[in-house]
Amino acid sequence: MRPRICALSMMFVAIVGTDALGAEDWTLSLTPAFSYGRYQGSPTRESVTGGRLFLDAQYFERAGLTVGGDYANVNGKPGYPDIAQYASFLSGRASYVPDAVPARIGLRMDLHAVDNNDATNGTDQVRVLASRLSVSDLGGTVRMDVGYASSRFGRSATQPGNLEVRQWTPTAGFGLNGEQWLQLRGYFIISSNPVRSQGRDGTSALEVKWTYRPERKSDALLENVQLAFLLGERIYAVDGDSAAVYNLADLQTGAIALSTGWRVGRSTSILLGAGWEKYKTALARENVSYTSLYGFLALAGEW
Amino acid sequence: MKPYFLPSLTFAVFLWQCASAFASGNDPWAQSYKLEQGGLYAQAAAVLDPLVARQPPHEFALLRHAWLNYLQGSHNEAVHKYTAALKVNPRSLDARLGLTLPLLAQQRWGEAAYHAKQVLAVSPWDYLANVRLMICEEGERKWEDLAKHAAEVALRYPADATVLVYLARAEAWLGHAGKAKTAYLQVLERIPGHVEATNFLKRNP
Repeated sequence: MRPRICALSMMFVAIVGTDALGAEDWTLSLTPAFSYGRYQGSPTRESVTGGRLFLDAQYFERAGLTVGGDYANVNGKPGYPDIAQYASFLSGRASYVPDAVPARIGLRMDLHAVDNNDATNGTDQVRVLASRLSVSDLGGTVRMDVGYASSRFGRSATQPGNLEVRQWTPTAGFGLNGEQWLQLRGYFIISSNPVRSQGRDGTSALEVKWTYRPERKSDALLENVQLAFLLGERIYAVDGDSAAVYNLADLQTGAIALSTGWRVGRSTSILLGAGWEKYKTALARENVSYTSLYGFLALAGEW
Repeated sequence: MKPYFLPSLTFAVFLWQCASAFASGNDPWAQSYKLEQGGLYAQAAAVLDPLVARQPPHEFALLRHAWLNYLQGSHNEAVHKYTAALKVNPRSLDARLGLTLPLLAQQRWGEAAYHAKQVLAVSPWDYLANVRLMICEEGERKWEDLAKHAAEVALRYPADATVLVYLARAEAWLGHAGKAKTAYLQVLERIPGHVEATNFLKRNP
């Protein structure tokens, strides 16, 4: 892990430069968030409670760093133990505008570490290295990116073999009329061990996100509305937008989420959201489908 | 017209520029200005290379090199040279204002705004710095900030139309059609027939 962190910091210093040390050059934001969800039809899980704290530092349009941690507690059904999970996140990003083309090129690298007390050990000791290369026009009307994530999971106590997961996420985003943004992202996930991936050695899914950001009127509090849904199947996905690793060993077969951001001060905003996700899992050689309904609240303060 | 006439003409103009530059003797400054006048920005910068490369670097050569790179569209090199000039003379407002040009061209609004604000910290009503900060505020769609800022600057430069255009745009985006209309009417007093103002007033009679 250490050489990767070292490479990340070297890349950051190379882009930002060593003169970028003045506090006023940086924009910092702190985002605490809380979530609660309930499972319906799950044979093993009752509910999940979570909290996270992210600190982000942005150096102009050139580069940024995010560090964060989150905690989740999955309450098991009677007879199934609770699972407590800790995840930490480190992300670096940089962008560059070449002279040759009127476009912004971005590079982002993320590290995730997820540890829990799952008795099977199958979802524990997850380490993810994810990267994303993006190109967007300077007017902010088109953006294309391609992401790659490599995940390693701990050795399972109940299922044989190692598990390594590779994920490709090509993405296209379009500005519709200055206030709307449509993003299409494909998830192409390859598992090294179908036994630990619900019998799948590969899954694919399409995520569609529509975001509405009204132009700021002097008396308006609404900052944005986002509607997202997922079509297809995916397992062990790494979601770069929400900095989340889906280390659950179940197949996700659909999702829909709605969130809204509200301005509560000059540099403070609240994000409220709710979502529904559908999963499939094999239990005692039978396929069981279940859903999860969740809500979250995040507060973002910038200074 | 023969197909090779245009390249021949271009070459002839180039030769004439070079000859003029040569005629200006060994003075790199005179050569550089002449080449710039002819639109030969790369050559105009190149004659200053020895001054830029020397240690310590020649401050004005750096500034001119940066400007000529900006004119060529070599924005990253322009940023590099303006930054180098700023290191030579950290109090240089020329370097800071110059630096905003390639940053604005690359739509690096936050960074350009930072340098404009640094100029305003020592010279609060510097016209160029204020206008460039307004461009950043518009780029970042900070309409409230832009409206307030433009109104303040318009008080200091009441004859200026540019500032009033920014004020009008911001008020229009904020949904204050009446205030936008007032500002656009003032623009038309200063520039009769101003296209943007005329179009707005046609849509908002």
